[in-house]
Amino acid sequence: MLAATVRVTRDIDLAEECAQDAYAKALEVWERDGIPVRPGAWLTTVARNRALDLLRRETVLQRTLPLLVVASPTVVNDDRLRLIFTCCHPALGREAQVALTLRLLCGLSTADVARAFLVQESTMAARITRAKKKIAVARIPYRVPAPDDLPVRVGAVLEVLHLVYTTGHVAPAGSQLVRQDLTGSAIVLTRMLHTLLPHDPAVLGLLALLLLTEARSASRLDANGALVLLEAQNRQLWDAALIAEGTALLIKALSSRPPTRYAVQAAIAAVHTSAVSYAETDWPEICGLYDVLRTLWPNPVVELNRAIAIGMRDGAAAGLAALEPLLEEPALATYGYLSAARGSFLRDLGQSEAAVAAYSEALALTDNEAERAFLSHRIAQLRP
Amino acid sequence: MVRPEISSEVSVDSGGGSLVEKADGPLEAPGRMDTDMAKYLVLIYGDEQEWDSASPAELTAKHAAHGAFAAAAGPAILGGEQLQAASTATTLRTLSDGRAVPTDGPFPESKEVLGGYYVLEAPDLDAAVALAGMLPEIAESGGGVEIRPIVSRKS
Repeated sequence: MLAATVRVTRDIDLAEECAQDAYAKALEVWERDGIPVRPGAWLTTVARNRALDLLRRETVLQRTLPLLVVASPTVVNDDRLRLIFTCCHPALGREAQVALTLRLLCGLSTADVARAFLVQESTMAARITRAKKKIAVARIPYRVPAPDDLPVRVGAVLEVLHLVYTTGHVAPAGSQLVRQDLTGSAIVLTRMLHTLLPHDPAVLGLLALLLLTEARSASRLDANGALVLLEAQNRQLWDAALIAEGTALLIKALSSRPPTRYAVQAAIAAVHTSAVSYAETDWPEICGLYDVLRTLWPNPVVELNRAIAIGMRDGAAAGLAALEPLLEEPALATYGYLSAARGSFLRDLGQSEAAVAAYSEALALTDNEAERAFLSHRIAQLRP
Repeated sequence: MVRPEISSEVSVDSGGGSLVEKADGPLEAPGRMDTDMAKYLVLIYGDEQEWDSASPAELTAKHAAHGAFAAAAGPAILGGEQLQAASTATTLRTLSDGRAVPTDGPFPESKEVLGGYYVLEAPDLDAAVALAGMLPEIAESGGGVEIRPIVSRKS
């Protein structure tokens, strides 16, 4: 509804106001006359009419009239799609893109968005206000981009959605390992994008990746909320329906050559979901996929994951050697998973003292309580 | 001195009225089309040393690119000028005693200097970006254009 109203007003603040007015009116009218057959459409119409009233009063109707003519026959989903392309417009900074997406499309409160990114609410409120002002003043359009621009623009949207999902998958801080509101929103929006662009290989790849990752979410924590590593996870808890859906999407995503990075990441996830047990994981296949991924998406985190996969295929000593060059990588200097991976290989090699040092380093680099508990436990086990 | 080439086809003095004539025919009332258009200032930045050392062939290519831009943008160009070297700039600031004092050089001292500008009219940022994307300075190392919406004053 908000998205539909934004199209009329070209002003997100005004649209939010109109949406609130519509809810207030609904309380009054629905109580008297009963809930309409299509409540969403009812609300959208009321909000849109309210926006028209306000705009007419401001005598800027002339400017928006062409928009209204186009807007009337569209369905709500098209408006949401337009809004996501606005929120993820490349003229906005990445942080603003993510914040606007969470606020306007996922419906998170400003306080929630602030918490997800470890900033003060006032800071986040200012960031969102600035971004909205830029949209209005610079006239960032509410429009699905032209076909020529679509691949690049979809790319920005997918990066934002992937970031929203990964932020929720391991929350940067707090008592919960997973923030379901973030992971859930990312999946809903990626599904929406897939509905509207059903053949886009990058969209297929990201949706496959998110579903295959999400399928394993129930086994990541035990009954006490403690972190469970992949090797110890109960595979019976994995969601077979999501795995089937994700795998079917992945097959379609891989039919485009060269594959998108999301498709390769999804393929890696699929190797895990298709392994009957941890022992039967096809590590050579995973290493091969990382070799492809690093060419498509060169990035230190991919190198780290590849090094871990090499260790799983060839043994802890090989893994440790593969991690060695990454210790020089500035982008990973405060990345706790590098320390944790070293700790794990050192532990497997029986180098307890070095393992404790590495795990302690990892502990200092995470504020997520589930991860902290896991690392503290490992350190305690290794100390004589 | 080789500045970013602002095409000579741009008539800076042409007001909104004549532009509307070109776009919509002479019957359209001047200014009417402006109701759903925004104005953007496109600031062209680049490395002055690179501009100064351009070969005649490079210069010709650049001139042609600005010509192509002007042809594509047509009446969307409301104005534009090429600027003299940054070394000819004078900056005025007020000192603590309240006197305004002219000093030598451009306002921000940096390697990338403002070399020219266009004023464009476009329905939205995407349209402005599509037009400005044709400017050759974007491809230069250290070069680029900044697109700034202009405050609209409605009478």
